[in-house]
Amino acid sequence: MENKRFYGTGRRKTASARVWISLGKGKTEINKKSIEDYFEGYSDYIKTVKEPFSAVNAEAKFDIKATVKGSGKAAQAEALRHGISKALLLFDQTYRQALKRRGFLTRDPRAKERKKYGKKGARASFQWSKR
Amino acid sequence: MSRRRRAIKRKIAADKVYGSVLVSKVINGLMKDGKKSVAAGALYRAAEIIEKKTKKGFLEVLTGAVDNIKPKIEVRPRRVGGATYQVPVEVSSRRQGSLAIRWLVQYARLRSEKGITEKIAGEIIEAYEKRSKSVKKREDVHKMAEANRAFAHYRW
Repeated sequence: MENKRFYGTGRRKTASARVWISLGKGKTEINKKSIEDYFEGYSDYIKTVKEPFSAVNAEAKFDIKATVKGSGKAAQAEALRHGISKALLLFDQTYRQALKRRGFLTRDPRAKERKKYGKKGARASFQWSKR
Repeated sequence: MSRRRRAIKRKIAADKVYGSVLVSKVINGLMKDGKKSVAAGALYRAAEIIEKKTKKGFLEVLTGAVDNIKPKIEVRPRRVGGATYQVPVEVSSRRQGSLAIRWLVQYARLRSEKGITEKIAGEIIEAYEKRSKSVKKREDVHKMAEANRAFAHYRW
């Protein structure tokens, strides 16, 4: 049987992940490293990345190859999750409901708000003294 | 607080080890400077200490501890005709949980053990057995409410 690859792009904050999945045994490679090496054993992030597979009861059924860049590790993990979910959808449309319900197909729009001129931060004003 | 509309209540994600919202709230309460992985590590190591010492499940002990700290009633200041009264009011269930976690972490930090892992473990165990400082804080708040019972009719 020909083993096709399915691609998905995932983003979160400024992190951007390119994800290819193919049928396999759960081998995961991120930026040419194993997932454990890449996230330095922080199991929270590893679990975040693998959440789409548990949502569709397909743990260890796919090999993952991915590159991810930008932002921090937490946002990268969620970008990977987003990308994997979109790739899974290409593999099997029937996954849609399970993934959609857990919000894995939605690009999380929360991002740092820009600083405004005339303000100390995005919303905070400069300190003000009456005289 | 905004005067326009009520803020929506945010849901926070359950933690990834126990799948419990309570655990992730305690982690967030413990977190300093946005370092969640440090706070999570400390609490999970504390969980091991707790399970070793009490021979009980961490979730059971933590839930019991937080329930023991939850205040049912507290006093809030209210101004009536120039005088400020301490009016006892019931605490909403959401605020009960917030206060319990806040006090748990606050009194854990004051403990004499070395390191936050031992501190939070000790405080949770003692709260579970109802002899921690944080449980005492709850009793103090209850006592304040009872002492000011006479002003209860100023409730708003």
